[in-house]
Amino acid sequence: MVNPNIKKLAKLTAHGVNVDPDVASFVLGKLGRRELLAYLRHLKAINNRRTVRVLSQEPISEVQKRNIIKRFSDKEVLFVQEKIGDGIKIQINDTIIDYSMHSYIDTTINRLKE
Amino acid sequence: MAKNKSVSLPDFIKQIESKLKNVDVVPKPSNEGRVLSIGDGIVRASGLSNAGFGEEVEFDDKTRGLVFNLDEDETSIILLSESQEIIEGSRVKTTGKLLGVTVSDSLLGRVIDPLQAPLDAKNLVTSRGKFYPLEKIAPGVILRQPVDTPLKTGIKAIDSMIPIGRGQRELIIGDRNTGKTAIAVDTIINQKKRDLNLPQVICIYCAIGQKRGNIARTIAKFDAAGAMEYSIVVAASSSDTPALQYLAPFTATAIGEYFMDQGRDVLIIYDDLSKHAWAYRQISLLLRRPAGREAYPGDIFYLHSRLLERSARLSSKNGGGSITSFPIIETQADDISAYIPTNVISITDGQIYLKTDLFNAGTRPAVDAGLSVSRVGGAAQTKSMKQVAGPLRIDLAQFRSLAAFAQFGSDLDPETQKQLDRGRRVAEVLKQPQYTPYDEISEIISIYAATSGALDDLPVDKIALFEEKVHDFIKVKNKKLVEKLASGQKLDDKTLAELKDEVEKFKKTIK
Repeated sequence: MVNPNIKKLAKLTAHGVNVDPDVASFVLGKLGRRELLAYLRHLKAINNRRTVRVLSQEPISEVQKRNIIKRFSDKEVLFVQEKIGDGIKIQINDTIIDYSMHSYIDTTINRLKE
Repeated sequence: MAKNKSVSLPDFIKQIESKLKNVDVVPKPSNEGRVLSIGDGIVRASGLSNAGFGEEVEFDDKTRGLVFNLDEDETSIILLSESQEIIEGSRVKTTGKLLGVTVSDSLLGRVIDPLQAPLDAKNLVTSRGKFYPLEKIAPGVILRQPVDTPLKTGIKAIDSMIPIGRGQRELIIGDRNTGKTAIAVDTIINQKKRDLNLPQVICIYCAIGQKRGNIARTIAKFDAAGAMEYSIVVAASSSDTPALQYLAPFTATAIGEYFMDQGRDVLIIYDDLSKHAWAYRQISLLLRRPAGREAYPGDIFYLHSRLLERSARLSSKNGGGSITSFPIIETQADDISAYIPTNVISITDGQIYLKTDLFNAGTRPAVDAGLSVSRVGGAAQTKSMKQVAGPLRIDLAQFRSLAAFAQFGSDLDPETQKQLDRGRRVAEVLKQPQYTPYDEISEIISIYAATSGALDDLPVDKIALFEEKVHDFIKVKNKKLVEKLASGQKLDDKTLAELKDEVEKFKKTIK
């Protein structure tokens, strides 16, 4: 199957809330390894566009969580614990807004250098 | 803060605090992607949906890359240095910066690579200076003015027959080992003289795809001639990545633009654009761009035209600076009708064509007067040089055509024999050893001596000896005449008679 068709298939798979069982069996039964990899990539890209990942080292308070969810009301918000130091990182598809202390220090140093 | 005004410590602390407050440290969103594949210096990455064409990107291991292709689902990046740590799945992020160089006067005398890393074992201070992007739109028509100031090469054959003006693009074309680089090197060395009291020219020598040994030899020549003090060398050798070879001329041009914007005159030598085209072809094929004639990509013409279009002479309102460029093209078997040579010939304002036959026959520089041309430089030539060099091209052309017939050995009439004799002397006068650039006065004396017929009775083998000493003889003996020759104005009959008289007087000492 050529790349545009795999992309179409991925779109079709992610169309509803749940995956259609016919589509799932077709994908698992008919696609080769290379096609599956491409299919997975497209599927992940679609999923990423719908999801906002909030990374932090420490657990975020419920109040803060509610505030963040409110800001991204049209997307699914996932809170992930990861070793990023103090602060948080927000990942929206392939865009990253880095509010970590590490990034703050780096930015300050770079700006002062300029 | 006013100069020499003392400030109390608390005030000084406040000043620093206010400066720090102004520093914008709000995080800017960055765009990330993942490496899908890597090979031959080309990375394909997913994500990077906000990356721009020509934007610099950074990998996890701090390796830099340049966005070269933007497709629907992926981005192709060329690596700017080699890395063993980038693997499938490695992270890559945009920097929001266009690739560029930070230029200041401190670059003068330095040898750098296209990413501004020093190659001469000295530290490079790049944090201070002005940022110039490698890719920039060439100055528009309104910002320019016609070429009107000469750029002296110090080579008689060129300054007389193919004059070059500041802001011109003159192609040097010829087979391998015909003296293309020699002309470029001599021109750079000649800028030390500041002939005709013209402003100093900043020289940038851009070596593309050459052997490191050759680059080192050229730099040593500049050093020996004291030319490095007003020169910069940008080098990407044949062992560097195609990406660096591709970027080298753009770096050289960006540096040149800094000096041009300051109202200074710049000369850039692109040595050579054939290898630049090869590097671009290599990158394009690896990026799977459609191949055209000789497997070059479709935009190879645009690549060189947008590069050379940045050479310009700015109007006085815009500082009056200029970039003169000497692109060099290497032909195969004297074939100037190949793809890249014809492209660059049509882009430039003229060409100096060097012929293997002439070179092997001992005519050096091996300039083919018939096929060489300068389309705009005539306006920049001084009146005196124009007047003296007028008959030169015709004399030489007649000689070359008659010489071909004379080979058949038939008896020649006296008029033809005279033309042949004159031609031989003109051709002999136009020979010039390497690294001995002439000033304008010496060029006028030599050329006038040949074209006026003053050398007709001097044996051809004595002409080199005559030339070696006649300049000093006239410069010491007749300073008034020298002043007139240096004025650049049209020479009156009296001056010409005086010059001929001096030449005749000196000729007697040779006989």
